[in-house]
Amino acid sequence: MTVDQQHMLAVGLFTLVVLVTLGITFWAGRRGSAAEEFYTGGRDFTPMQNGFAISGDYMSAASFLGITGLIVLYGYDGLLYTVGFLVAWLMVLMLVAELVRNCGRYTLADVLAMRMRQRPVRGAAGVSSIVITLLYLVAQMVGAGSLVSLLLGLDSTWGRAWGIIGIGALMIVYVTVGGMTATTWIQIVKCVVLMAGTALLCVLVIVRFHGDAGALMRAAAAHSGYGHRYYSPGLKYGGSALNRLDFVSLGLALVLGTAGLPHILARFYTVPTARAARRSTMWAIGLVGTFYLMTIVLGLGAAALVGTANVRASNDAGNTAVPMLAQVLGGGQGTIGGTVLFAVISAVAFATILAVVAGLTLASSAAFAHDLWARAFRRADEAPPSERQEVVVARISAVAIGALAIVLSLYAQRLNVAFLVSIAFAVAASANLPTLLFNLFWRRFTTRGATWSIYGGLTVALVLVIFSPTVSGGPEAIFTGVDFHWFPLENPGVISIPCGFFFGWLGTVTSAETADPDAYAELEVRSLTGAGAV
Amino acid sequence: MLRHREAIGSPQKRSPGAQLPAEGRPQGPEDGGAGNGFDWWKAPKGLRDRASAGESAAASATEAGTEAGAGTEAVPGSGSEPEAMAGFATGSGVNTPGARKGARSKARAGSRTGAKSGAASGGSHSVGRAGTGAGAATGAAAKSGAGAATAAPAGPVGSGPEPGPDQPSAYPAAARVPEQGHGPGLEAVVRAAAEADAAFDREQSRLRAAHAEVYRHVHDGEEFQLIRRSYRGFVFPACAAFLLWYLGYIVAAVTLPGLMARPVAGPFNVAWLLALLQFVTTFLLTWLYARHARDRRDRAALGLRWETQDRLR
Repeated sequence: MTVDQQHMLAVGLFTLVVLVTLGITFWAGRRGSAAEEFYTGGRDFTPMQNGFAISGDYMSAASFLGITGLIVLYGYDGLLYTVGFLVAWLMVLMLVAELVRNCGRYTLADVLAMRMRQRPVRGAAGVSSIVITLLYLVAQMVGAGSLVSLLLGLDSTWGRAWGIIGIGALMIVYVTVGGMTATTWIQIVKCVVLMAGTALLCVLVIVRFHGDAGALMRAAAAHSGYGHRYYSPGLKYGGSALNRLDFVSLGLALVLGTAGLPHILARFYTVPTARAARRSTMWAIGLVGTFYLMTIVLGLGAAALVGTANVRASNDAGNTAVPMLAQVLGGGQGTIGGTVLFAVISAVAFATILAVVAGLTLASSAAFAHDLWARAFRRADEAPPSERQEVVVARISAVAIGALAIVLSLYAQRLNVAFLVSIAFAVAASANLPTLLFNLFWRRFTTRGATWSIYGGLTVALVLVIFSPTVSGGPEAIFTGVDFHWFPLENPGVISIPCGFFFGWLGTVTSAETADPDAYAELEVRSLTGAGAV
Repeated sequence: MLRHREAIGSPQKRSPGAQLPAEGRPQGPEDGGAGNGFDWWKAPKGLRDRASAGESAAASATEAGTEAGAGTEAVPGSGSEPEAMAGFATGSGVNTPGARKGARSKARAGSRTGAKSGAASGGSHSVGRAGTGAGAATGAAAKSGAGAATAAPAGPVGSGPEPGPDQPSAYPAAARVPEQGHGPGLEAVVRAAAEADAAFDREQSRLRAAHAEVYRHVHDGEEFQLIRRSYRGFVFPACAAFLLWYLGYIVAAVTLPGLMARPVAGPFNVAWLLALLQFVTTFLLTWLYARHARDRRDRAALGLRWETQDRLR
């Protein structure tokens, strides 16, 4: 088969993915348009279904392609990412999932509004949720654009632009027509397909090396060009002290950010009870953990069979390592097996992107409609709108946010995907997590503490990013030719996360009002027993 | 209590109505995210489904009314619980002419899960006024208490007086629209509306205080303190331990290359061993936490949940 036929096959499979997901969307869209349905899919998913959907929401193309690529390029330092992404789930499991399920309805702000003054905290939480999801969304779409154009052989500026626009349009359709029901089912299907595709490649790699892990590692090291240094940390983060501190900062953001991501929090509202939320988190931990263990095998396999130099020649960030590995495992370029496997894995990656961007768009439209438009933008004595109106606004805002994400992604094509994702995690860990934890576990926490914590963490994180070497002055900076950076680290987490907690404390101890002990008693009883849960 | 324990197996699988005694114990109050502590009881699921069937068929008001009526029958005694089941109690007189619009929107109001509550609890105030605006409902709102008034449909807002003899019998028989509610003058309507508002506000703050009292009481009780201690006693040390273990691993990875490169078996070195141990401890801690929650908390928490909700009524 020629390269053209290969791309034709990929196009055919992409079309299949689009048709299946649109089918799910229109099926789900017929189920009704109540707010409960739109935001939570009716809250009647089983823990297993939700566990798959959570994993589908979390395992982005950045994980599937990006981390495998990092392992190919940097060996052990790529593996460090997988550990952070997995361990973060313990935080979600133990401190967040059940309590949030018991206290909230649709968004993070619901949990805060339970004991705080509604308008300020909803305004703050809504703004930070939209900022985080937009950053994450742009990261996914930028990655998706280059990926789609690469997989379909449209590797030009226009090819990437059309990839971004197409994916943006699809995600808007999923969310506006199908709401949470469609998004969840797309994520479930994607998770199954992704796990199956990864497992298939993993088995093929293991068979190729006759089940000998030592042989696989030795071959990977030999073809990586690094020799035994490939097994040890330091290839990517082994330079100056600042370089190493940067990695600690990234690790902190990864492990604390997950629990503050709005689209992950929203997933816990799709199950009926806190117990179901816990069990879905356990499913997610099992799936995510298995997945990352398999990506390690894929990374080593790609280094051993494709070779680090070849991967780097194809894509600087290593994003094409997995499809290239699939091609080799299928029999090599030009063979039928190689072509089919390449196309199938490309389609899996495509489905992965679609599911993640749909979840993100839904979370930010909920934050806008439910928190900002319906509550925070109104005077205290003004009645909130009906749920019907709210859902209409949520659908409109999904279109608007999707369009905004498309435009931003078109301008942000030069940005590094992994960088954008790590910024989203850092902002979530600095703005959302301190507020959420203080709200759940600190009796004296006040409204001012909550707003200071969110705005403080958000501002510090964003300012530090703007004046970091990734925006100006660094080797891969957005702005070339000018240099206004003064913050030496690429990831702001190590400064901004403590700042988020500090501002929460400062706002609380300086506020004139004292926290209402009754409201906290109610929150504790409800969060731990589920009394009054929706 | 025994019933609660039985229910623990799979609370989400049963219709909540099944776990509840015949008087139709509600599944849970809905705060509506309004954060003001004004709770709405959620309708039992079986009823919700039935009523949502009514929603789709609501093109005909009569049909909707029938559906809602059916819902009411399924919960004997719900009619005497204006705060609890107002959405469903509407069924009782819905078929009377002149209540068509009301029937329709009520069926909708009570139909879906808790969703309404955003509108219901947050929007309850205006909704109560809307009811008064309809003229005939004023007395009813004032008499039957705000709990019921808030359930009045949002639908007929601004539809002007609809002089049905039995306007929205959203309320139990005792609170039916009084005779003098018929065709009042404008002033009377305004006055009645103001009265209803005041009554609504009083009722709401009374309810809020009552709920705060219940939560405070449950919170200070030995049963809840046990749950709380058990949860915090496991979760705080566990979180501290895994965070320290993870941060220690990260810091070691970037500062101790010599130790990390020490071989263990073949190409497998200390760094790989630690990374795999991170995976193992994550799975292990997940399992430990789940077991702890299942054995130490779930049973007590669910029992306390129904008990709290019982008291809140």
